[in-house]
Amino acid sequence: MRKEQLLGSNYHYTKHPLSYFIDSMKRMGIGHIEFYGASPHMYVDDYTIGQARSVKRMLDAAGIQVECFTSEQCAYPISCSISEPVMRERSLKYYEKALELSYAVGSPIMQMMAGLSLIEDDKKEAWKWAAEGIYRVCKKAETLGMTIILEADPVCTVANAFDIRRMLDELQMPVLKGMLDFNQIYNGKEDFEEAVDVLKEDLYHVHMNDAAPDAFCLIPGHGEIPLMKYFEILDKKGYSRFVSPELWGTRYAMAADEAMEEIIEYFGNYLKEHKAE
Amino acid sequence: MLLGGANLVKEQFLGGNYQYTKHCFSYFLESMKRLGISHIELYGAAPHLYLYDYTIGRVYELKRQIQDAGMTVECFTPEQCNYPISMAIEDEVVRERSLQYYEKALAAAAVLEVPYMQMISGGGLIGSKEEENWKRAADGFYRIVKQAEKLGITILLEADFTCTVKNTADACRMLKEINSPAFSGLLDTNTIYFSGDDFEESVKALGEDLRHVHFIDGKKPDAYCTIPGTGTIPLKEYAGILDKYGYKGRLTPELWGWQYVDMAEEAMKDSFQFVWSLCKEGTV
Repeated sequence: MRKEQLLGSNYHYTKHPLSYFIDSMKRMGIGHIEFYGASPHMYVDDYTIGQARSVKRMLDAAGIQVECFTSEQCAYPISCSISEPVMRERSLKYYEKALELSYAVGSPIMQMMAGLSLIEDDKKEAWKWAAEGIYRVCKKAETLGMTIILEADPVCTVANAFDIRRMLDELQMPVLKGMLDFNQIYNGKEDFEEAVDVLKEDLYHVHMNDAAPDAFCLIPGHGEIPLMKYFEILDKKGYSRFVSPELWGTRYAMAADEAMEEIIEYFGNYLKEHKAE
Repeated sequence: MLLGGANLVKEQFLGGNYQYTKHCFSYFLESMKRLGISHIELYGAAPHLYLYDYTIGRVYELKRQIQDAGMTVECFTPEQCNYPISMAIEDEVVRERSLQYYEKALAAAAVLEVPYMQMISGGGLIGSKEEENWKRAADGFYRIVKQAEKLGITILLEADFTCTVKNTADACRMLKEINSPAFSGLLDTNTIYFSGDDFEESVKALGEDLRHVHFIDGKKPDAYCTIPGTGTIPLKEYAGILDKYGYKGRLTPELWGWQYVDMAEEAMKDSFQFVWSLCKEGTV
């Protein structure tokens, strides 16, 4: 892997204004980011396309390119596979707007999840709703020339790498790709190498984060996920796209820069150790 | 040391749908019936009552469902931590949307004929001026409280250590500033614990304004809203203090978050087993 594959991200900067995050990235020499669309930075429901364009100008001025746009979809009540039709329709509209914002900030990729269903919901129906929802968002992505990457989560209808594979095979849309999240692998007790093999060339993005039995989305090295081994696997398989530190949540909100610096150092150490190979 | 709460009665404890968010609402109501609970705090969040998804008509529908199950809602608490809600923030768009969210919540509370609606101030960003955050929060409370007065609903201010109104002293100051009969306070045992407040001092400071309690456990550094009896907060002692001051309001085990979503009823049952053990014999 190369240094340029590491993205910056604003997941843990939500106690700061966006301008602070952009200044931080500049200071750290990071020119590529994953943009987390959440309040107070870019809550999808609050932002107009015009405002997103003004954010793009701020990013352009700082020499920063958005490589992936990920709107908040866990803390906010978003699901395209729930039985509740009002919530499902609102969620799909949310993704459609998020897609327009992604386009306006110049991101080639938008991430999405299937969302969760209720314990009482019929799981076959939930899958059908998820497939229909993802299809609808992908159709819009086609018109914008964008790619949708599907993230799995053990609590969602698309729960693991095999589910992603199944959804990709079912929908057969060139704009739909997959991604892996280290926490997803850990929480779902998946085998990382197997997950990479399942997605093959459809592996379009990676969220790197650590986790422990009682904590998730930790700084690499703070938990028990063998990240260095995962990086080696990615290298071995020739993964050449981005890895993005997803420090989701409020854990690092009061020490956002320190957390980002630690990530850069951690990834740098991996590169140093594997330079000769 | 004061222990137990020999004067608290079981009816003072409310059930809550906080940890039932992976279940449909009817499951929650059935679960309350199974546990012998008929008074609840209603948590306004998806998929039960996410305010943006609900028309007033749908709230009436929910009310009928609640009434048919023989339940009474004693307090309405719209979600305001996970969702991007803040009245103290500089961003006018976020702030105005937050206020409209509370206005809609108040309308829902009126339909449900709930005596209390809970609110927090929200917080500002790092680098914002605390005085300005305070002013914005106060203006926001004033706007909501004025409407609450007309509806006969009392707004309960909850302090949170991540917010502008962060502890009991702040809550008392805000209540005094707004000075309305429709504006009172509540104590959350997690706020007390994580903000380093003293529970007895807080009860004394709020006095007559203490109308509601979120009665939950927790553990440093970051285990919040856990089942009473599973953390390190001295809840028995707190119950004794509430007794000492003759507290007659309600208490809710507010099992907020995702940790119990796959064992919602069990978590409620365990909570009630603990809190009822603190109560006077023979109640309920």
